Amino acid sequence: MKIKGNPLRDDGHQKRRNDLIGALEAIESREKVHIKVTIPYETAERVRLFLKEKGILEGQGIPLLIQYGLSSESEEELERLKREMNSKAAHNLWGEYAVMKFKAYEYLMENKAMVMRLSNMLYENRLLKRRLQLKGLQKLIPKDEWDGWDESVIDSYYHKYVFGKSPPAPHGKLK
Amino acid sequence: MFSRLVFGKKGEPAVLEAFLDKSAYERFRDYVMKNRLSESDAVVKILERGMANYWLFEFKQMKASYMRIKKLFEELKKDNELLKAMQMENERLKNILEKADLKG
Repeated sequence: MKIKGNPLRDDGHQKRRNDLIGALEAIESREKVHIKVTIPYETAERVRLFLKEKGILEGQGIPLLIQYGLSSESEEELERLKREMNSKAAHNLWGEYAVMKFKAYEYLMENKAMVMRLSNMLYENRLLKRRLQLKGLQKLIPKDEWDGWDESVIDSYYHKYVFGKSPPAPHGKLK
Repeated sequence: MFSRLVFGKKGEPAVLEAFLDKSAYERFRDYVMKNRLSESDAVVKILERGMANYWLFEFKQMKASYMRIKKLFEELKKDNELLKAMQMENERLKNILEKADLKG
């Protein structure tokens, strides 16, 4: 067996990004170790067919099967998990998960597009409120969460949605 | 840097190459020593267990991922509603001003 680490990727800390792409990058950036072994033809063929059936590429599927095969769950725990997986609630959970992932992606893309225009939208909002005030229509001016936003809040949104990471300093009002 | 299976002639042993996370590799080494197996035999047993319980582990992963995605989803939804509210308010205020201009 040959062992070869990747020191270039050994940054020693997990990136804490909220978005889906960030999570994938964090997985990719972990240090990897290379193993090379011979296995019986029948096993290799079973693995190949198994991954093909699931539509998983060997590059992703082999480490995944090894990871699953090495997991520390006891037989009792696996049995409990099996009962849970076969319940009606679990069936619903798969569906909810798929829908939520899709909706989260949709929101992410929509928010990104809106944040690109946030500066203009906010400027326009303030201008419109000022015009209402000048016309003596103060009663029609709504009080909004964004009335007190400054550049740091816009920057925080920008970092979150356009650059895909947290702002450099925690001075923004964005939660 | 891809994990792969390299087949020779039909029926002859194949070569498995894998790139594992450091923690997975350490667990693999522990497994080999604890069970006193050759690395090849250990990989075969591990792969068999992985395939046999594939959907159970997928389910477990999904449950963990569900909680993370749910938190992210709520955050994205809240931002979405706020940004859309600003857009809609701008349209509403424009309409009010247009009507006010027409009146006079």
